[in-house]
Amino acid sequence: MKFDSLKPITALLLSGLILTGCESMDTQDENADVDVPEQGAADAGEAGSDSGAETYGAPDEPEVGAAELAAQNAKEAAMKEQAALREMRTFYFDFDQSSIKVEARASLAAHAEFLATNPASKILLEGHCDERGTKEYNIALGERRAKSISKFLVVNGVSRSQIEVISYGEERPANAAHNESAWTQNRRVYIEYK
Amino acid sequence: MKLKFIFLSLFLFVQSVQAELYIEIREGSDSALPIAIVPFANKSGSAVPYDVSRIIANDLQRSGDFDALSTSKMLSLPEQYDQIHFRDWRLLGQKYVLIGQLKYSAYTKKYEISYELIDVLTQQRVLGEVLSSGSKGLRKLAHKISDAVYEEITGVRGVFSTKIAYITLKQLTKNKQEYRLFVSDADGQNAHMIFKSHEPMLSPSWSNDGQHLAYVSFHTGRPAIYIQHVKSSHQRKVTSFKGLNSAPMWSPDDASLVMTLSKDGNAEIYTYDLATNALNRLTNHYGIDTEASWSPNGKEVVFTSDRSGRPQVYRMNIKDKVPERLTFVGKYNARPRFSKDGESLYYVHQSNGGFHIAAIDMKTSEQQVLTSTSLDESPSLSPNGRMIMYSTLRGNSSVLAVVSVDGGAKYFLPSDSGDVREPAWSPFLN
Amino acid sequence: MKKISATKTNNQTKIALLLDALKAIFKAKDKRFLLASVLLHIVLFSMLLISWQNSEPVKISSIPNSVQARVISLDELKALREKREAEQKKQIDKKNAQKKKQELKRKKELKRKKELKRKKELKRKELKKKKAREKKQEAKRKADEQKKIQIKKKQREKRLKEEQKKKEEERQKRERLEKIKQEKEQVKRQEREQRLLEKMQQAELETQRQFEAERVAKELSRQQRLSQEQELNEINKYKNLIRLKIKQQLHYPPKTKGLKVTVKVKLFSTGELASVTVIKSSGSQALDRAGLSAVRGVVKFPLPEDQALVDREFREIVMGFISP
Repeated sequence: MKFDSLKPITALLLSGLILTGCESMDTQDENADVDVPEQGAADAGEAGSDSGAETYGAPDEPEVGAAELAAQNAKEAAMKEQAALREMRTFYFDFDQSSIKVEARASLAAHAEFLATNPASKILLEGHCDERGTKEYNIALGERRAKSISKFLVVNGVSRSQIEVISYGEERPANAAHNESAWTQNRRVYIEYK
Repeated sequence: MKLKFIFLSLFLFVQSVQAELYIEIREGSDSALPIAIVPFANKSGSAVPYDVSRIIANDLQRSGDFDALSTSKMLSLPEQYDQIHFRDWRLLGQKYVLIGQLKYSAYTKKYEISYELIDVLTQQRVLGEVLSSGSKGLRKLAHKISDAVYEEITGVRGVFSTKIAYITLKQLTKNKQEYRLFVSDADGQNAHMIFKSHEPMLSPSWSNDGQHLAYVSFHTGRPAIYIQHVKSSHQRKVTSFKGLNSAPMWSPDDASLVMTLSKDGNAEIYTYDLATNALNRLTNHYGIDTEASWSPNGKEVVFTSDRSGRPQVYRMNIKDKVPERLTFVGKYNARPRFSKDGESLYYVHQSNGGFHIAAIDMKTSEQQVLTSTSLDESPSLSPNGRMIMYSTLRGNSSVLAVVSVDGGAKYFLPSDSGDVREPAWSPFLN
Repeated sequence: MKKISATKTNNQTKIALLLDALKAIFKAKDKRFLLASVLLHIVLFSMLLISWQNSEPVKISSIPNSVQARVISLDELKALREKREAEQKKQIDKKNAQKKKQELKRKKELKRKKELKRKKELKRKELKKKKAREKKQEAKRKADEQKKIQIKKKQREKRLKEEQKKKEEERQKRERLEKIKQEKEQVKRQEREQRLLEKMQQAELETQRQFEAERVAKELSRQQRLSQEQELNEINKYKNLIRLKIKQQLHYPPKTKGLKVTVKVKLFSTGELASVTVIKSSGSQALDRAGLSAVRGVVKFPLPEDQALVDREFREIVMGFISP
């Protein structure tokens, strides 16, 4: 509920700061963020602007039309923004970690808003790991990563029944190479809309 | 005076006993025991489908305990005892010579193999047998001879007639792959696929009677634990709870499996009674608990837990369920397996950024890293406790490798293509 | 009859007495045997003790010592001995000279006496002739009493003279005897002196010898210690060489950690194996066999050059194989 009331502010912040590109401080404490969603949302707003724009290609800045249409346009822009944020479907993790990175929060918040407003839609969270470490531990670690995302979404208004979790451990690498860059791409959770 | 005399003689006697030179030897040769496996004489009149003596030589060589002499270095190829020039073999530094003959009976359609193991230094025959087999059984027969020779000389039962199970992964197209579960001879030959799926398959584990394999398959889209009878290929689903169904391991009496389930929230370890389907939860922690393995006496399990923040190896008595941390060296120690005597553990250990197989002595907590290959995983102990098979990255794909428990012998198993992973060494099979 | 029986009984009693006497002798003999055996024992034991005491220095002498040190000590000894011998010789020379003088004197005296004796003998013979002539003449002289009395007078005078002569002779004889006695005593004294001197010299020599012996013994023990050390080094050196040879041949079977097999190795002096046997099994047949095989695998055992050392230390070796 609290989150809903903050939505306009978030949107404003997003559009306002979208190009400023500010490096966020890395709190690393996922649980604390989840427990205090306001701050999490705020963080996501700040950080998402940067990483989202760079990694996934930020959509073109919506042109501001006539003054009378400004409000409507702003709303449309916000929606477009949201949709663009939802384009981000893969979320990355550090080695042997399952805490959500700060830059993922904006996008996750957008996914959460969409799912909350569309209770019929369902998602599958696929947890993945890089090839390092043991297979079965990685299966468990992949599940924990997916559940970490799941928790974030639930806290942000998504119903548990909308979310399914599966862990593939290190079985389905995004990049089959055996190097650091491949491993970075393989430590991930993928959101699949059904 | 008489007493003095007696004392004197006693003293002299003691002196003469002490005077005997004593030499203590606590070190042995760095090389393995030299043995000459002379090519068996083919008296069958036609080509033999398997080179029996070569299979034996390869077996013994791979054990790491023997160094089989290359055929090209042999000065003669005796077929029977009276053809052996002992001086030659002694000059070649050989301790034992194995000779044999192969005959074929058109009537029984069977091969008859006679062999003799001879001690070069005493010139005595220490082993000899006549065995028969059809042409298809020749490989098995060769392994049987290897076992007999190995046990005669080392006093330890050979594992050449045992099997291994493993999983291969083949990338069919960019987005399509195939997992296959194989059972083969311990040398990797004679492989039979017993199950395949486009979805992941993991964690094969042999029942202690050598009849069944338990494993995890995603072929329904969700992970589930299955048991499959090896010979009949009959498959039975054991668990398919919501969340993880992972890391099954047979109890020593084959009555239950220990496994990892996340049906109660996160990865926890349970025992599953195969007769009653009853579950018994062993761990209760928000951290990951998985990769459990039974102690030889069935009273304890060892497992991986990251309850300390990093994956480490823990031990737990299945009755009192109190976890005890065992590994403290390194940030990553996982997937423990007990040694056959229950006195050591073998597990995956991260050091200097790489993952290797390590051993820890349960009494002294002394750790020894056994491998130096990269991304080493899934250690599985041979039933005689002498060798560890594991998977490792070689080039761009995963292959199976073997290292002796003392870190001595090392070799790779041949692989056709794709990834070969998660080896599981069978128990002794009859 | 009676007489016969009496003699018989007499005989019987005599036999009985003889038997008794024999018995007594026997008893006495018993005691004597006992005494003899005790004496024999004492003699035997003392011989034993003596032989044992004697065996010690023999042992020492068997230990080799440095040639140089022996030469030095002998030289010194020789010099000492020569010096002492020279002194002795001087003294003996002196005595000899004296003796010679005395001998000469004595000889002269003897000659003189002999001469005297011969003269006396001659005189006696003449006297005898005279007497015979006088006896013949007696008849003639019967008439001539005066003559007779004169003759008698002369005879008396003669006798007196003779007596005096005799007395003189006796006196001389006594004197001579005394002289001889004195001479003898002189000799005896000299001999005693000589003996004493010799004794003193002997004592001196003895202390000298003891001192020398002590010095030699000290030197010997030093050398001995050194050679024992060297010997030990040699033994250890070859123990290690053998250990190395064995190690190359030794293939410990698996799963025998901590087990130990002990074997006895007998070697020929050439270093070749004579025999090898397990004297204490490890309990593992494989380990026992590996130990035997390692020993048999050594074609030739490295041995010291000193054959005596080889024979003493290396012909029988006990080896313990402890599986690492």
